[in-house]
Amino acid sequence: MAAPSPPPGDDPGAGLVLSNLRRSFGRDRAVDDVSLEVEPGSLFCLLGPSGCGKTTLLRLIAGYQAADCGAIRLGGRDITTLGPEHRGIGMVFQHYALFPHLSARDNVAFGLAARGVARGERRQQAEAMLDRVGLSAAERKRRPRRLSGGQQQRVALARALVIEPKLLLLDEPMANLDRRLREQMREEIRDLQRRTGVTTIFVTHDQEEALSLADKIGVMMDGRMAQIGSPDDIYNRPVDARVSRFLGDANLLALQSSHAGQWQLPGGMAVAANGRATPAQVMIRPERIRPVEAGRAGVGAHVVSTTFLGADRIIDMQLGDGTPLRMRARRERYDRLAPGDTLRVALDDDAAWPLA
Amino acid sequence: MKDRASNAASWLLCLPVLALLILCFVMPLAGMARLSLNAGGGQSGFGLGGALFEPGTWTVAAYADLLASPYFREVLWFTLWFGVAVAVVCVLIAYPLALAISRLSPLARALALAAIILPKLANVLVVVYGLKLMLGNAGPVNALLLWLGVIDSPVRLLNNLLGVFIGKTYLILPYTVLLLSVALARIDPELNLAARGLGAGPLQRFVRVTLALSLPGLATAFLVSLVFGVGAFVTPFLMGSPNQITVSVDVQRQTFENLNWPRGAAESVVMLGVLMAALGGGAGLRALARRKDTR
Repeated sequence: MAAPSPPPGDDPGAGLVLSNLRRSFGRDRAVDDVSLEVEPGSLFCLLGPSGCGKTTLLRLIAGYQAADCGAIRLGGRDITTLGPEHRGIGMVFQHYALFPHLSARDNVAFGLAARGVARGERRQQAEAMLDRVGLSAAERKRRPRRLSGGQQQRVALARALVIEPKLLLLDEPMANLDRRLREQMREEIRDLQRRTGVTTIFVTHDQEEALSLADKIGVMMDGRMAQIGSPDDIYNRPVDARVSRFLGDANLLALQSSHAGQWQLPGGMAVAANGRATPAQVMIRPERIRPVEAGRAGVGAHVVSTTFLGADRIIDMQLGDGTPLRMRARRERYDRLAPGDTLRVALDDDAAWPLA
Repeated sequence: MKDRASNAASWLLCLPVLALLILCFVMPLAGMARLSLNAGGGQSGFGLGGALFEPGTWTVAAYADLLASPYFREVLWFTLWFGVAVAVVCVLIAYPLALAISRLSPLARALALAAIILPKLANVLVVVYGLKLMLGNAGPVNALLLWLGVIDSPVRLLNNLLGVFIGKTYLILPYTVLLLSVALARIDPELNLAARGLGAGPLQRFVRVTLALSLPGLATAFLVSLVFGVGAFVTPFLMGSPNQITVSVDVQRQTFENLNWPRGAAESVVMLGVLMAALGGGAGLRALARRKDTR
């Protein structure tokens, strides 16, 4: 039984470069001409709605699916035609895919055994990695079926990391956890990624998860990479209306006219122009709208409905000409607002982002 | 109080099934056991009737007979090793077949399984006579082997051990394939992907994932094949020679040819005991494996 030799170049955290990657299923282009660069040691998030091709892209990178064309380079080495067993990539599957007949510890040791690591060494490394992910001694002896979702995820992480992969792939790893655990695991993964320094690609459809975790985000839409950038870029400077809507609430307003550095928006609103071009639409995030005292600058609005979110409140309004506007405010006094009430609102000076 | 009432009700609901089980399984088996302990061997078992509890008609003579008979030991020995050998061959053929089937597309898988079950829809005797035609000296199997030049003159594939073996394997195989494909279909294909990503080669993946996870199904398939194999009657009777006597064939001879009903019944009871021990052993092993799992 010849164990595949570990790939050469053993510093963790290799850079990944995808060039013009394409993969179709029948007539459906699941991944359509995707080019992408992930810096060594960084955490990259593939974000997109379900069915956008992000999981297919992840499987292309892992080697479980062959690309129709394009190239994949990991740490400067072309791995496009290499089988997954020779890529040296660690993967955490959405449903973890833990071996049901093996204990947590043996699950972690599996990859080491496949690499021909001696039994004693194997055990030691597996234990050390399980220490890192924080699985107790009693839990290590159990089979996956007797572990909770969070514990299973820790085992899956340890199993993927113990082989010292040059790249770690996570396929919606939080999808099966409840909200509190999800937030805790998010921090743990971020922490683990920083400590190990392994280049990581994380697939999710949860924008909050992407914004809070990633160094860089790639937003995928219909098999194409719609935008790649920092969380700040993606959230505040989206390339188009679809990206802006996918990344949370957005008011999309048609631009009516532009002069003297001011953009005129529907309902009598005006905002400082952002850039010289005159876009067709302007995006304004709900939290960039603020209520103002009566008699000050701003426009009047009718409250249509309000939604309590805990610290914040979402207030859906209608301007004088019927334009709907959504505001997100923190102030307790707006708790009293009821549908039909009127108030005055104004935009932050730099609130507007132009969309093509 | 209410618990007891609902308990009684559930027993009441079970009554028809229970009655059926007693009538169709327990009573005939008990009758057979009683027959094996009956004194006076020569008469037909159907005459047992009222003599069931009559004192003086009970004896263990038939079992003493069996113990003392080198002939029966030989028959029992042949039956057991034949059953084990057939079960082993069935599993060896069925495993790769089931593995291949489990990797087909859903439609192709359904068609393949249907093709495998198809012969089971025909009467056993029809199938066996069909096999006899195929395996005869002038049959297509010999013709093919001659044409290929593998052999110079027709080989005997019938009325010997080989014939019985081929026939029995052919009759059991569909069950083995079916049981194994169920076991293999239950294995999450993602586990193989995970093993691959962790660097495991094809052989490691097979041994540590596929085979390891299909072991319980493999044990079940083996035991079921064993039970069918040990119970062989039709194939030794029709495709074997007088040298291939299984316990089932001998039971038939003892009762209908020698008219020694207690002896036939005693042989049946012994066979039943052996099979129960095999199944019990299998169940015990599985329980043991499960206990290890939950520890």
